[in-house]
Amino acid sequence: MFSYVKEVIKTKDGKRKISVGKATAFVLFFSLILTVISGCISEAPSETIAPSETTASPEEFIDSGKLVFSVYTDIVTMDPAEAFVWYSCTIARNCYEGLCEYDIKDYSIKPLLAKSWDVSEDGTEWTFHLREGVKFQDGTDFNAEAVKFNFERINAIKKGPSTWIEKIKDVQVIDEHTVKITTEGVWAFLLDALASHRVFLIASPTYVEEHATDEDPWATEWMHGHTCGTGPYKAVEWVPEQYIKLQRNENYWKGWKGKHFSEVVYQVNKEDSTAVLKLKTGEVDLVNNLAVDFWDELKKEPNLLVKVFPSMSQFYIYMNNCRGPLEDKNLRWAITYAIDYDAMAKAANTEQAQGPLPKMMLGHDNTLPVYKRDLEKAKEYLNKSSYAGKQINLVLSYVTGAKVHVDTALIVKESLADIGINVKLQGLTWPTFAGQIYGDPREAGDMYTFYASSIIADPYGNLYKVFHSNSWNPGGANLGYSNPKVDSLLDQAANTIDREKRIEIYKEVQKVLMEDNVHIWAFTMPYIAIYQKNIKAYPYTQIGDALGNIFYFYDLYRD
Amino acid sequence: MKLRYYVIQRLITLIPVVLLVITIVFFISHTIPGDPARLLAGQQAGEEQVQKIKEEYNLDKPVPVQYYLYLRDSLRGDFGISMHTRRSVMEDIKQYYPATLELTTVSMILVIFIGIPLGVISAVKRNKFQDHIARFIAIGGVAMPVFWFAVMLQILFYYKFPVFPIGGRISYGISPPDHITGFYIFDSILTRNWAALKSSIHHIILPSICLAFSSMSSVVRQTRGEMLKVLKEDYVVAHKAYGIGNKDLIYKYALKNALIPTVSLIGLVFGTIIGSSFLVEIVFNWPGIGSYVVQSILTLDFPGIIGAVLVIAISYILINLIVDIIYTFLNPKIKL
Repeated sequence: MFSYVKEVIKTKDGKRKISVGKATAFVLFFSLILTVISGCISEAPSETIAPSETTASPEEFIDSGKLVFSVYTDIVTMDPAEAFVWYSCTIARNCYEGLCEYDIKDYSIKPLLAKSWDVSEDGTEWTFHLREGVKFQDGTDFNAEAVKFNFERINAIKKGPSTWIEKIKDVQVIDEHTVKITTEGVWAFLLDALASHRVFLIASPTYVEEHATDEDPWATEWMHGHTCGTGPYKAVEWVPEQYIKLQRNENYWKGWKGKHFSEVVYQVNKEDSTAVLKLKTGEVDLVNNLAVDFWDELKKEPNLLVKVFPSMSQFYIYMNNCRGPLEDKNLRWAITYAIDYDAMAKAANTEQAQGPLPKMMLGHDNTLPVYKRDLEKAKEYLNKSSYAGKQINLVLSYVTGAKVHVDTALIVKESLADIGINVKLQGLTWPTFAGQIYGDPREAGDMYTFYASSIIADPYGNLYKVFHSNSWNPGGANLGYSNPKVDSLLDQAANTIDREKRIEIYKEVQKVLMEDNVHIWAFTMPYIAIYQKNIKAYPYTQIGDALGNIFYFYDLYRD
Repeated sequence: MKLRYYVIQRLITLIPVVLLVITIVFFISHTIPGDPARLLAGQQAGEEQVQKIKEEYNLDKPVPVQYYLYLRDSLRGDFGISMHTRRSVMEDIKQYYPATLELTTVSMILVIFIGIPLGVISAVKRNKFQDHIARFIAIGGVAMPVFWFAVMLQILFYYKFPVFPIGGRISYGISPPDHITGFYIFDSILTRNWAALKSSIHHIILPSICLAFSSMSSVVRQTRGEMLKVLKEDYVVAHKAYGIGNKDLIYKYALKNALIPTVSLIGLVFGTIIGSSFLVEIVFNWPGIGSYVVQSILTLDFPGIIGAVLVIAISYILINLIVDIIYTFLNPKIKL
């Protein structure tokens, strides 16, 4: 072949003017092969299946085809007794259901697998009347025995979900569709725990027992990668680090009238730029976790919608109240007035915080002051503190790679430089950072950028974890704050079933926290949903859950 | 005879190397501050859950004890359970390693069949424009950050001109071929799964081009240098005097001699890109051992880290062993 090339040129010209070397010929030939191959086998990016006839009556199932949801990481597990982080819970909550659920528009608690419930006089015995005719994916019946079985399973496995059912003493089967749950003393949050998408999801006992072994009596290995719940979808394929394929559960008790997705793909795209390109070409339909830099670019895309909405996670600049310079309250006040809140909120694409709780959270007090930068006041407090006239050096630790952390940390550093405080920024990887924040506050640093998030739509979880003195122990995120008044108020809240009464208690807690000026209340973390324009949610719900950043695929369809 | 002894000798030296790698990686990764158990349990989990995980993975024992337990188990072939995938590390390696090996093998084929000709052109057309273009390509490849190059390729050939897929090993709708070696291309051919073959080739083109161009510079320059040296040799002048044509001269005589040191280099490059392919793997969603080891490091998954690093180190050693053996066939003067 090469000699052919050489020959052609030789005979054509007589003498070789351009010596097309063997090597050059090979390179050209090779590139030609590549182009030919790519031309022959180029595939268009996978297209979405067009919805079938819209003339069909809404009494029938109209297939919206496939929904592709992109996340930056693979899930940890599908097992509802273990799944605790939002991406794992996305899969779990779409395949499994609990006794109640939250209405994601107003966070009231609605019935789901339980039709109704009553509570006894003393507040410790709750009777749930279960929905009848519900079947698991494997065809077996959902009943009270299943509820009891899962209670035992979650407690035996002792992973994340079990922390929220510690106050449940006992689950009793009264009859096939009635179950009685007894709590340790009066516990305000039973319904919240049951409504949470992370705590008490019900798996089929028959299925679990089928796959249990002697060393693994609760089938944790099998349930790690397989689902069998009452929910609208079932997992049919999991290629680790690539994708998970969910298919609709045809026997779902709510039925499939109207438009729904028959297939949902959870796709792993580790690089944000990959997800962005795929959104633009339509290969990906829905994304809820993308760095802020891309939001503006995507807002300009004609076929995408970018929805930014406040979450129930509040971002603070944590200050160490028990050691170091920040033990001094006046210094904390000085910092409070030195921070450029507007720049911080703008960088995070959200609203400034009003106190320790997000505005949409139950119990938020909207009469609280919203601090603004006031360098005069800041210098006043600085002079009142025991560090007046001295050089103050602080270390601010943040999570590397998390843009929200980095941006906020930089603004803090600049803001405090204006009143002469020197802030050293220290980037830590998440495991290291977590070790410090969840460890002993007496050994932790001065400042941390971090947020307080919720498992339930009630501030108790965050408030307890960050402000109760018990949370000085490992596992709590309390950075050295201790006030017996707050402790007793929170303990009281945990015993108060009446939501209105709890709101009053939380208002008091907020007042005390503001007076003690524990941390800098920075902003409310925004959640984002970026999706193709033709994706809609049914009117009884919305796209995007402020509590958990998960999506309920059954409630979405393609127009 | 001699060959067999030599190979066995080299394989025996693997053992102390493996031990050294395990020890170093073990102690270094355990000095990184941070709590992998807390990470696995999740932010919201209580202290009990974190404690339970610690017990599961022996993290609550003192480090030397953990080291001893690890060595004892690894002698039985049990390299532990990876904390972030929840499977045995052996399973993970069996799944992820072939992906990287396939990618790096295809990349090396490109390096050899593009890099060496580029080096030859450079040498033969020294200081003419072909030389400059070839050098530009080679240096440009290594100067560009490989992850930037990867994203550029995606934007150009996926977004602007939809010719190639953006990532992954195979199209979403097509099942991977039956697992024989773990190489999708090879397995598709063996099982005559033509749809999978088409899709696998289509998916490997961009990542392998990216990896190849980022690593071929040294091969190009080495080939060029060696060719220049060889072309000055007396026997080359003699050949020219005898009237042996240029083509034959370059390829039959000069190149073979020039290639000898390059073969060694190719072995080094191959071993290196097995370990450093992770940037390409992450951008192109290529589920290989590179992205596995990065994920393990980020989650402080000690069994995963040690297992992956061990596999990469052993590959490096074995590749160099093979290269050394090939060397002796190329140059009979070199005895083992």
